[in-house]
Amino acid sequence: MIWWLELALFGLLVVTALIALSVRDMIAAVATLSVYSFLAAVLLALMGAVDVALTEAALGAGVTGVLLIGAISVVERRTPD
Amino acid sequence: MNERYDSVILHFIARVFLVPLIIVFGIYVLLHGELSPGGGFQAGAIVAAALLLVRLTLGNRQGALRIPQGLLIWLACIGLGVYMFGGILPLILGDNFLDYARIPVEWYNQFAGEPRTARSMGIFIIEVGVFFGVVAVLVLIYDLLAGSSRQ
Repeated sequence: MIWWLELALFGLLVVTALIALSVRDMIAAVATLSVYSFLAAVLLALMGAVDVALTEAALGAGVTGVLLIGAISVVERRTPD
Repeated sequence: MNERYDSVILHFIARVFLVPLIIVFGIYVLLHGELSPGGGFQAGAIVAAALLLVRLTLGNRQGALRIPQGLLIWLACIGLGVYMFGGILPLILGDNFLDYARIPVEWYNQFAGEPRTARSMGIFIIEVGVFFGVVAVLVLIYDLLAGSSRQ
């Protein structure tokens, strides 16, 4: 396997997770979380679990983002902490 | 997200290109679920993403006219019914619950290009049931969530 590609993807995964935790704007956090899910899907596909990668790309990067934005439109957009 | 966003590029890309392509890919994933990666749940998630794209571009009220909420509830019940049919049909034929060994496949093999075994036919019935259930319930969750933000 291309080890440096996996290493770079893992690094980006950690960076996007930290950004999603630390950002104040909830919409930006959801967008970063979608990027996180997509990177996780690419990693799963590289490891050979194409089945899980399909689910992660469709549910994690697509549907969950839409549902979270729907939940944000009910509550406040900016969080104090 | 409740109002329609008027943009020619958005509507053209979504309506002409993205939504039909995603639905066709989802049905491909469903039909090839036994031989290649995929299956009922994955195909249902992909098609539900396409239906959510319709609701996002057209706005909730107009998008819900295309696939109304009552139809979604019926679709979820039909999915459960197909699953129960695939489970109870072996019981009628004298086997255990969800044991597809003696499901009739001769009627299918007469006109199909490549013959199927009874077990692959049974798994396919189950996958179709899961597909309809997942599509309907994922879109219903979004509908209920967006409906609560309107009040």
